[in-house]
Amino acid sequence: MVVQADDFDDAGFFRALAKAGVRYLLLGRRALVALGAPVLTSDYDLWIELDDTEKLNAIARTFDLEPTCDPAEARARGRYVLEGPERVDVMVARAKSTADGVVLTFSDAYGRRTILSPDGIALAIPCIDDLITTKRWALRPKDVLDINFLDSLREAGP
Amino acid sequence: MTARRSAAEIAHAVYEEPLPLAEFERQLAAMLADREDKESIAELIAWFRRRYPTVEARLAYARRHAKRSASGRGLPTA
Repeated sequence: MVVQADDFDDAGFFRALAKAGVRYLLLGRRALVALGAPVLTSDYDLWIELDDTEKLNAIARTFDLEPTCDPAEARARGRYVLEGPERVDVMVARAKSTADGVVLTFSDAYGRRTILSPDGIALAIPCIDDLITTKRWALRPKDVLDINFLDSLREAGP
Repeated sequence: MTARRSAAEIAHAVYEEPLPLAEFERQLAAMLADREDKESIAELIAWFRRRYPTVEARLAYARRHAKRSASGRGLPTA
């Protein structure tokens, strides 16, 4: 049977991550959508604590998502993909810096995280200032648009 | 080889090709200073939050649109 993207239980997936204590942050446009920006995206972007790679993969497999490489290789490369009914890009790095030298560590971003829908999906995303920093990593035109949305989301409040 | 580019290639070039830092900053400053654009974005956010008041509903919206895009019936996604 071919599993369609609509079959992916993202709420269940993120609840399972929270229940298992996986330290993750949802980045990218799905984070913007969760905050309330109507932007389009085809995948999920997660940033996880290095030591939680195995736990994430175990949960992912229960949602028919298969890692593209083993945890040691993922840690060496700094990223990998979970493939299945959805595509999940996973960043495995202790820190990343912008072109102008602003360093964001996972532990700092995780410490400042926002939990959306704490009684429901319990989705962990970076605070808006840190999301803006992540949007300065790649310097793409779409990141300009996304920072504009993030600035407006900050003005709009929760 | 053809000189014509597909819509996906054009969209990739427009949205995904990295900019030099100075050009990125220039575009960002111009966009943030555009009051009309900011008002339009604020209205979009207000509508989207009214229409999809929960995080779960917003993620379901994103899934539906990604599926529509993948089947060639929607806008290209990033």
